[in-house]
Order: sequence, then structure tokens, then C-alpha cells
Amino acid sequence: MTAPAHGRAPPALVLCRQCCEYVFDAEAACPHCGGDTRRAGARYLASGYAPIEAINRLDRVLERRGSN
Amino acid sequence: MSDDSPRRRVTLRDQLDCVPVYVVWEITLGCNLKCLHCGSRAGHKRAAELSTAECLDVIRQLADLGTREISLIGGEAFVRKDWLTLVRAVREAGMDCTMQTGAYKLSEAMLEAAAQAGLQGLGVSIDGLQPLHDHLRGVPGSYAEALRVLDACRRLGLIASVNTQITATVMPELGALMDVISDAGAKYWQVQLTVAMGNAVDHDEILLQPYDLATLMPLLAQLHERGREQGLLLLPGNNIGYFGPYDALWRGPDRGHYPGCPAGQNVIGLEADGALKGCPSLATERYSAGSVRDAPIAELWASHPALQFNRERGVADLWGHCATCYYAEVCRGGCTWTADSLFGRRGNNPYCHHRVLKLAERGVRERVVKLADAGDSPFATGLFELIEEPIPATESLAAAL
Repeated sequence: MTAPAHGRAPPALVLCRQCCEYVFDAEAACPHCGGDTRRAGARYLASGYAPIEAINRLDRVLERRGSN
Repeated sequence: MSDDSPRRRVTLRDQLDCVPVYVVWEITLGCNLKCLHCGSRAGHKRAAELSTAECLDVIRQLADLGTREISLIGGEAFVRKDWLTLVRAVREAGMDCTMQTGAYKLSEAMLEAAAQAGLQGLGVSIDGLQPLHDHLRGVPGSYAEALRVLDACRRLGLIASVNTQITATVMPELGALMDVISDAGAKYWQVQLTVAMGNAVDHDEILLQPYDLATLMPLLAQLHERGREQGLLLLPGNNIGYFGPYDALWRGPDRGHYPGCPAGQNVIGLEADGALKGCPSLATERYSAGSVRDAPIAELWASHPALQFNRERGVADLWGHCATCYYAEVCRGGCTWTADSLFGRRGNNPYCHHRVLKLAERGVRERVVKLADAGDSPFATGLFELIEEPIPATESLAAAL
């Protein structure tokens, strides 16, 4: 009999709402464009990313809850 | 099936529990093509390939471990006489079954039998328009055969995808190739950089240079958007990336950002003689966990050191520019196979768009130079040196225009 395998998951990234490049969730100023990562810019709004990211955040919360 | 398949998507639970969600299984090394870029140097079958009974036992063990999809590859998978038996057994065990093929001499009757056995998707390799494809695949007529098979899939209702190796020579014809693929009825197009392994080391002139990503990635982004309008989804393989201005376009946010290499955490690779690895393409000498003939797969999966390297997700084994990268903790050097095949060591991957752009800000670029050839065995690697150099003035000017 062997021990079950255990792994780690990578930290989740979010999109900078200015330049739409990935950043770490806690980032306020974007390391790529220098903008405010949380203030939705025109490209972010036009891309339809906002509702998708909202669903992703909810999924992550539910997944983390389920894995505790 | 494709990378977009919901069952192949890896959940947090899968990552924490190291569920081998996706298995890529070379069921024979026998092949009827002679590809210049073949990493496994396929052609003749291996000396002691698994018997049908052994394969059926492997399928049962993988189902018990939680595998959700098995993709059969070769060599050329259908060269093996019992391939339909294996397809049927995978489906009867409750898993999805797909197959990757060069499609040469894959008849419509064989395809129909595969669909009846439960095959759910077929990935057909097309590496360029006819002259280039036939040259790279080493067999005249192989391009026409690939298109014939795509057409047959359409008639049979079998989901067809196309896999393309991105070589230095294919870049100028990718747009025309996409139109051919789309017209042929494929729904998914997966692109992958050709990796310096096996035959590709012998023909290293076909390899892209890392700095070519500055040209390739905007082109792929353009094709991705055009493909969506045509009903063809261009998907990046594990060694296309990482992050950069186009990653959200083809990886997310609906599909999620690049999570790091899944080899050995959520992927298993199997060689036809039973060698178990974390990814089918990794160098056997460094990454084989031994044979499924010698130990239960569950035991190897849980404990063999050759499969553990991605599970703890540290950054300690990163080196070069990857060690100091903003994305290090997530990306961990991208595709293990790509980096390890170049340098005999994982953790420093120059084929990265983010890296190419960061270096370009400093006016420098990287190229790889072969130092040593690869051996004759399947999945043998050579050795490459990484050179950092100023971007030639003519190219800087061209990029600015």
C-alpha cells in the first residue's frame, strides 16, 4: 500500500483591468502598464472579461471550501 | 476532445490530490512516417511492447486512479493490431478516448470502426502546406492523406482537431494553413513549438529561435481571432506562452491562465514498453519512473521521485531569467520538456513571450546554439547553449515600424 499523492496548486492570477495582462490578485498597480489593476478600462469592459472573472472568483471560493 | 474539453480541465481538487486526469499513451513506436522533428525517433516498434492483456490491465489501473481521458499516440497508434480493442476498453472503463495520428493510410473503414469502438476525437498532424508538410513528415502524399482523413471525420461525425508543429519554416504559411484546416472541417487547432529532441536535434535548422516569438505570438493572436470568426479554435500547446499580452486571448479568463507544467501532477505519459513518465515527451533517461510491468501504477505514481518534481511547486529549481521572473511562482519555467531537452535541466525556458519582451526592453535577445547531438535512442536529447546578444539594429527598427 502506498501513501496518497499530495500536490500544491499555483496562486490564482487575475487580469489587470487596464491592459488585460495577468497579475497577482493583491497587485494594485500593474507591473506591466502601471495602471490601476482594479479600475476597469475600455478594453477590459469591451472584452466581456468582467462576468467571466466574477464566475471564476466564485468557482475558486467554492473549490477552496470544498477542498478544506 | 481537445485542451478545451471540460473533462480534461484540471480542478483545484485534482491538483491537490495529484489526480492523473490526462494520460498520453504511446501504444507502439512503430510508425509509417519519417518525421524530421520526431522526438521519439519513431519507426520500428520497441523490442518488448506491452501485450494486449498488459494494456487492458493498464487501462483498469488508470481508471482506478481517476484518469478521465486517455489519448493514444505512437509512433502511429493504428499500426498496432489491437488498437480498436484498446479504444473500446478505455471507453468501457468510463474514460474518454482520443487518438493523435499522422493519418497516413488511415482508411475510412478504420475510422468508422474506431468511431464504433467509441473513439471520441482524432487529432491529425499537419505541419504546413503540402510541400513543407511532406518534407517534414518524410513521406510524399502524407499531406493529402491528412486532409482526406479530416474530410472522412466530417462525414462520420467524428470530432477532428489538427496539431501543428511550429518550425522556423512554417511561420510564413500559418495563415494559409489555417484556411485549409478550417475548410477541412476541423474545430480545434492546437499549435506547439517543435522541441529540440531526437530527430529535431539532428535537424536543428528547423527549430525556432527564442527571439522568433516576438514575431510568432502576434501572428498567433491574429490567427486566433480570425479562427474564431471561422469556427476554428486555435489552442496553445503547453509550450506556447507564457503570459504576455495575448495569454488572456487564448487561455482565459474562461479557460484559466497558464497554471504551470502539469507533468507528473495531473498528466501521465506511457511508453509502449511500459515505461511510466510524468509526460510522454520527457527524456526517458531522466524522467522514467520504471515500468508498469514491475510495480502497480498507483505505487509508482504515489512514490517514485521521477514523478514528484512538479507537485511541490517550488521555485528552487528555476535558474536563468526564469528564477527572477514576476510569474516564477505560477509558471515555474513553463514546459518542462522544452527546457529540459535543451539544457539537460528543467527550470529555464527561453521560449517565453513575456521573457522575450522583457529582454527586448533592454535591447537584448536570446538564441540557442547546438553543442552536442542527441543519441540514437527514443527521446534522446542533445545539448544547447543559450546566447544573449544585442538585438540587431535592423530588427529593432522593423519592430518599431
